[in-house]
Amino acid sequence: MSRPVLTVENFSVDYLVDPVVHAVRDVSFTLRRGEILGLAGESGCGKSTLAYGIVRLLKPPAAIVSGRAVFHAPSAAALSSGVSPSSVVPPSVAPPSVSPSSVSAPSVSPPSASPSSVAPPSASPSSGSVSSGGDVDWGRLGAEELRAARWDRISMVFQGAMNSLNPVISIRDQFEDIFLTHRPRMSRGERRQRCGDLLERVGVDRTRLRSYPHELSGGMRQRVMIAMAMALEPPIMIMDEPTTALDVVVQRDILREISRLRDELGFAVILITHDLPLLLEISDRIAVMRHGEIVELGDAAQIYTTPRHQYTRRLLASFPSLTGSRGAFVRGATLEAS
Amino acid sequence: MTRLEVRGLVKEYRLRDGFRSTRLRAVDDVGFSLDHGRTVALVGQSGSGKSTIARLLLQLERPTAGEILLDGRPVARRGAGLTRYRRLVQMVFQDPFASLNPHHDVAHHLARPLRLHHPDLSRADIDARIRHLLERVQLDPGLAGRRPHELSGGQRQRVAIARALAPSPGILIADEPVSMLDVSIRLGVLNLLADLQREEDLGVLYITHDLATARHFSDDILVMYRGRIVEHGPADEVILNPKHEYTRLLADATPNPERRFGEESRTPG
Repeated sequence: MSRPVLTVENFSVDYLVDPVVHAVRDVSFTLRRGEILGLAGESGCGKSTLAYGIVRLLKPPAAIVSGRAVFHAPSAAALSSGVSPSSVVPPSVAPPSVSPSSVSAPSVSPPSASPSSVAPPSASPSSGSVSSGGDVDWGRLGAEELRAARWDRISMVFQGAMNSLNPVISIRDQFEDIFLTHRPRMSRGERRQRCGDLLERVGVDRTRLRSYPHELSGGMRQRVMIAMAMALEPPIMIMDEPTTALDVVVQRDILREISRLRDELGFAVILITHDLPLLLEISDRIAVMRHGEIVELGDAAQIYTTPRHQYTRRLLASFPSLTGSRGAFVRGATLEAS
Repeated sequence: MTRLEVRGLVKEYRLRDGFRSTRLRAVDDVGFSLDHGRTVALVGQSGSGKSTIARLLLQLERPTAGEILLDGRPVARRGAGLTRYRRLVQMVFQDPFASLNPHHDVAHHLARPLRLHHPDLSRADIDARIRHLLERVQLDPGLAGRRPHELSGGQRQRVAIARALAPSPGILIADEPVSMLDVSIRLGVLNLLADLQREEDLGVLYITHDLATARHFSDDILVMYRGRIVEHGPADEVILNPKHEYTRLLADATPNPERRFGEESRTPG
């Protein structure tokens, strides 16, 4: 069992409108290193609100009313002291002797990327308490600290990501923005090299850096967004419907890419989508959300073979099987009748 | 009892790039037929020409070559013949949020096709038909006075289906009718379409990129790739024993948990 990288405890988000909407209710889960956690549910069930809440990107009228999200990050300080300084988080305190050894594995720096392996220590003094300890409760960080920690610790591929690139700025400039903000000491040459490497990693030619978003296809733009999310090699990536607008063949390419990179770099992924068959195929564990609550959280195999909650069963039955028998879907008969 | 047939259908678009212009063949020598009482699924990647075929069948575009036959006769391009064709061939669009006019209530959406295609109906007749149509798509007739923004996505798509059924068509073209809907109501809408098809003896062209629903929902599947139909056959045959390389690619790309866990392991829900 792998070390946890993120613990979410009793997380609740309300939209303070009249009447108050309880968008996320008392959600708790742990995300382990290198894990793909699927978050399934219908529109309006609070999946995206939860993701935004974890990254602290919610704007009023949304408010986090209880709970917290704690990031367990391997850092220079935790490594040297050998003991995690925080006593707040039970899960990581339990195996304190284990964490340094697992940290020594190249979890943050892949073998190929030399600039980045230098970068995190050089950047960390600037971001104060964020990197001083292994565990960080994001609820206690100030605006500047959050700004520094986002993308470095956790990055996000937003819903409809391919339309979230700025149309009047070249891909290169949008890429370099990340490094200018988070790695200000990186030289220009290094930066360019790194941007090209990142694009090639997701299967886009580096000459495309000169392009503007409208010159790329939807699939390519999506890959660019994923490359951007990986730029600082965060231990956690949140992907909100990363392939929804793409057709199945491109979707398959991108999912393969995500799985391969996960194996290579060891980051954890929270994959949000309503496409349950897709999650069943690629995730390790799946959380099924409904009305803001996680109604079932389990192994992908367990969710598929022995779903416990009624709603999980209903959701599974909504997807006719491609190769299997006709199952719950009887053509012409209404669903209620079967 | 309607039969729509296309033969050797070709559609080319001219693309301009500065002073040069090239031709893009969006639909290339396509032939198939839509029979009453049968559902044909048209599957393929985006850009394969699926929607162009829908536009050609609806006569929103003129084919570059080839012919469209309605009950064995070439379709009319103007006048009373075209009006009759428009009554017989109806469409359900992908996005129910965009295909209903936000200014008008549900009754208006259903009354217009009734008035256009059956000008002799009295006001009371039309009201009765509207109630009947709403019941057919399993909506409360009390929704007639509501506007689209007051309805959920599934309710809107049901209104769009009722509108398509209003002029009593023989052929229904459904372009991704459920892809914008929530997963848990998709099957309900597809089952509704299947029910109506059986009752009205409609020929349905179901355009989709979702192979799983295409298999269960249709009798025949046409697989399109770059404007051509590369495979054509009974639904189960095409999905379970794909002949063409491209069909295999599509089937492999479709998420399928059974590949990972095996079919037998699933307990009946």
